[in-house]
Amino acid sequence: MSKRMDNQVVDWLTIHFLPHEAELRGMLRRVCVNAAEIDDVIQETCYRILIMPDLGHVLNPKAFVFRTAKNIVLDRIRRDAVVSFETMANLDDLDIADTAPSPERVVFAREELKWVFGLIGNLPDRCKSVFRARRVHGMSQNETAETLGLSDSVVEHEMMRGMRLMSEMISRHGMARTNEKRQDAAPKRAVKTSNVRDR
Amino acid sequence: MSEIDNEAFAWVVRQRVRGLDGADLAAFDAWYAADIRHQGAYARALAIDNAVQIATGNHVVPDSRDEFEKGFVLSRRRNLMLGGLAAGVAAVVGTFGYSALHQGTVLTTAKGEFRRVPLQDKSIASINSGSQIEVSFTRHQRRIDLRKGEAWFEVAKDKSKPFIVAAGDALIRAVGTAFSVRRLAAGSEVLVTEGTVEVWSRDGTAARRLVTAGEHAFLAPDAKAIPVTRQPDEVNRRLAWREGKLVLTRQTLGEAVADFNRYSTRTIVIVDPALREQRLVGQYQLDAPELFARDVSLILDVPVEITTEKILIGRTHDADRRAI
Repeated sequence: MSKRMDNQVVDWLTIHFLPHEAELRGMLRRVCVNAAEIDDVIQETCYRILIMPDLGHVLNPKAFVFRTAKNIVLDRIRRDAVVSFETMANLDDLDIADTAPSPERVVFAREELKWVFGLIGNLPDRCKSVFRARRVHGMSQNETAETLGLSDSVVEHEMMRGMRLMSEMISRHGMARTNEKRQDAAPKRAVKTSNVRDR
Repeated sequence: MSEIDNEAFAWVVRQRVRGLDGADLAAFDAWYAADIRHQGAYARALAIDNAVQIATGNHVVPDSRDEFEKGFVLSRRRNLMLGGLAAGVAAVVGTFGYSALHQGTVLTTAKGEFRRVPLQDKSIASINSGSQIEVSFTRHQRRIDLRKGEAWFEVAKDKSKPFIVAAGDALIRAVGTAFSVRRLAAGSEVLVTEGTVEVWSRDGTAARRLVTAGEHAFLAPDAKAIPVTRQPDEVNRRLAWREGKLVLTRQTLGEAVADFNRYSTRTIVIVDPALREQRLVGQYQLDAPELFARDVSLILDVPVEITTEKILIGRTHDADRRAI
């Protein structure tokens, strides 16, 4: 019984797994037989991270995530005992150089999640307002429904839709999309950022 | 996304929006236990939810006292909604501890404010002025993050769930005991009033130390060792804030003023630096710095000027006056 689902694991997945998920899926596409198997490998990867006794020792989280996924694919290959030569060659792509993390990577802060801001911006308006109202103002279910003029079931429905859309964007674009956006608005953002740091 | 992912999202949303009652919990447990992919997908769903919460600014910390009251109520409500907070949801936590608890309860005190907060496990946190702690209890541990300031914990015994306080680089573990932790610019100070705690650093540079009642430990970042000294009287003196008092047993005026300034928005300023090293003995109410200042005026025979914002102790030198 290893049901360890505490802050640490969820935080770790938030910071170290989600940002790289799209890239990982891209690589898995070349070694998995279909989309369903990719989903399986992603879920199993999260499971293995979940049951790790201590994540504090992981120096390079991205490499660790990719290696974990690779091992899962290898286990599947051994189990099925059928594999194409191509799959074996592509598997090596999942090896990432193990470099020491830069210190700022270890810090858990809003800074880490800048890429998520971009994704939230892409949600439909009603989804966004449900998330914002609930999260920012800490409203209860009823208050959210009242404030936004939406029924309870609509709030739940919108949250569900928001979760699915976020998940889609994370699995397809990950950090890449927000990075592109940031480049477009580079000068403006640069000014803003430096102001904050001065403080 | 796979069907499993959708099921995981549905569980997280339902938990967040309505909370899960007995029948739901049983259904969830069955679903969770059925397949390791369910567990992985559920962890991923919580991480996505976590990212959204943080990105939409859930971690707003109000500063002034009015804001604090408001913020406290809101964060309480929020956490109840999330199945997370203190006493009221203890039953839920018992059966569901590994999941719904991600967002901890944040407790903040304004300057001059002191709070004594019972936690869900019957431990009590006494939170000193200008401090902030985050409480997150899971099935496996009771964790407190001391973000700033100081707090004294009376820990309820529960061997299955260690009680761990993180203060910057310092980690302190207790089973059933009472101790305080304070974050200072140079490191973290641990004072033990009852039982024993274990102190170590996050990066493991200093060896673990056991600290028992009446002892004081200090952990500086990157320190090679954690010095522990036995000073029962000093431990009690430093924790007099729990009774709203400041006790001075030959501390310098500089130290005493620094202490008062932790509690009062009316800042005490020592105008004449020569007075800083004068030593004082006495006992004062933390919320009455002006009484302290009057005593200082009498004992040291120096002028004291009290305004609505400041208390000035000592006389500026004539040379300074001329310069102005």
